[in-house]
Amino acid sequence: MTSNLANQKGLIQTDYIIAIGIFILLFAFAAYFVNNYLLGLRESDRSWELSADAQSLLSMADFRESPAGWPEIISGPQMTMHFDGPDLGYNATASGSSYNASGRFGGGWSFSQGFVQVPAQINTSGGVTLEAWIYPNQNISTYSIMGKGPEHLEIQFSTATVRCIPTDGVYLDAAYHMQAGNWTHLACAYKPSATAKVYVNGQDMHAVSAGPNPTTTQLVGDSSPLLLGRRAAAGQEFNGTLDEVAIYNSTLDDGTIMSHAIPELRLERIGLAAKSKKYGIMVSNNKQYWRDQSVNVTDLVGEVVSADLNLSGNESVQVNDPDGVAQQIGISGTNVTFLANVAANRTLWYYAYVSEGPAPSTTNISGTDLITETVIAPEEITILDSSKIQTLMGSNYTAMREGLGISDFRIRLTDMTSLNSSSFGGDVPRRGDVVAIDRLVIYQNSTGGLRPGRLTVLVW
Amino acid sequence: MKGVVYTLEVLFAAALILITLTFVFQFSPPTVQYDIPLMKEQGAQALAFMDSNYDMRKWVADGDILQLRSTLDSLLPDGLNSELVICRNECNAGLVPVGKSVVAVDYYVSSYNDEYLGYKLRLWMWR
Repeated sequence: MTSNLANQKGLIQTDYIIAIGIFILLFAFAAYFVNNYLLGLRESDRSWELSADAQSLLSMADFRESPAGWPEIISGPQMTMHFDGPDLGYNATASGSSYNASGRFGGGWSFSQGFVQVPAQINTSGGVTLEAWIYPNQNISTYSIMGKGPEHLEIQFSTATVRCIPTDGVYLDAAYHMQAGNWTHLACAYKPSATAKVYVNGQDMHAVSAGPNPTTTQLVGDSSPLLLGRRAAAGQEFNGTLDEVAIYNSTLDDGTIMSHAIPELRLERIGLAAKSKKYGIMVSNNKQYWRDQSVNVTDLVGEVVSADLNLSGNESVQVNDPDGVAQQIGISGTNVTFLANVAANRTLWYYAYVSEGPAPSTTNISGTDLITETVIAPEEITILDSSKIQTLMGSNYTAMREGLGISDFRIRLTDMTSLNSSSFGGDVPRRGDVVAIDRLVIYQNSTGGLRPGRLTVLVW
Repeated sequence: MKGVVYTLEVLFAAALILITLTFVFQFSPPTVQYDIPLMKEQGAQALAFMDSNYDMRKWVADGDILQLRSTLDSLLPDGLNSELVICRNECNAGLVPVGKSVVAVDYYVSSYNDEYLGYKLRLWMWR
């Protein structure tokens, strides 16, 4: 009996071990398949979301907003004056200051011992807000960026203080050290007995009243000119660049000023596209195109090609030879000129691209002019605008991501010829789901040249 | 003895449940094939880019299919097979594989400068 039981126990134990083994095996299979099932579900959901975000971002190559309007910064019916772009308007005259491409958004006005003068009677009886983006070139002890008459609508900087002087004897001082080589948004809002604030980068700096007059002092209208780049009294000239200077005839609220200082928060879409006209120019060294058809056709070296592209003088122009190599060009009125070498009885096609953007560098083109060229009606192609690319690269990533309401991303633009790339966005994680989509684009570089590139969007 | 049998019964029941789970969840739900629309978009964009940035229309006018194919190869992502033909209405798909997911893109080339062509480029792509 004892022996049988022992045998049975052994047998039972063997069955037991086999059963547990089978159980573990089945459990492993079940865990494996169920995990794969859940993983598939998870990947499906996540990839779909990331892919949709990436596609949405990549459409920036198709969407275009006006160069000055991306992102749109200044708006509102209360705005009295807004200085942006090469044409200041308001009958303003510039002296020792100039418009250049290096603004906070697009171009800006740079000053070096110069100023802009605006003959204006500004009605600010209901309150006033002064606003500007400021880029000092140097850390100078004291300077002013704007002013009018005897200390009206004036903004001064000293080593550690921003002073806003909206009206007679009202000094609103905020502690802030302006750093050279950085863009800073500054705003000052004043309404007697109601508002007396100075904002730096959208933040209320809790300014204190440090002037001889209290903050109940009324605003004063005067007929003296408004000056940008210095105050009305001599001295305290600004050395740097101003952009998006605006004067409002009311006090803007905190949220509006914040959205002007961090415009990415209001972005709904990134649009980098612009239109370019592509002209085909036929240079044919055949008899019928020679001006003097009595002479024999010979190889042409240094033939001057002149093509009327209806240029207005405010565009980027690039001419490529049949191999896509950019040519040296000259501009004369509405025409572009360049040199061509064409063997006898050969026809070459050059292509001219005319786009919005910085004016090209030109040279004096001279040579023979023996044949007549033919210009074909232009076709429109989409390019990526250099000013919008620069705006994107200089944007606040965190604010932009929050404004757009999408996942983390990185945007990379790679030149297909030089393989140089510039990128914007967060750091791509080493692990986890990352969706990357790219597309081919023609982009405009900082000098207005058109280059083939690859736009890549990574989302995670 | 009863306990052992009972244990085996429990294990058997659990095994049945696991087997059922395994059969139910052995296949993931069908996932969306992102690469098909992406492939199509990449093909269309590569042709448009070739038109804007290269002398594609001249190559079409000259019937230079080798130049077109080599340029297109440099523009399409690695690992993507393609076949390109110049045609009008009927396009010969002789080299396109059978039994694979193949994406086709048409790009119409109506003219080259002042010359009417009336061609289209038919691009097939597959992995």
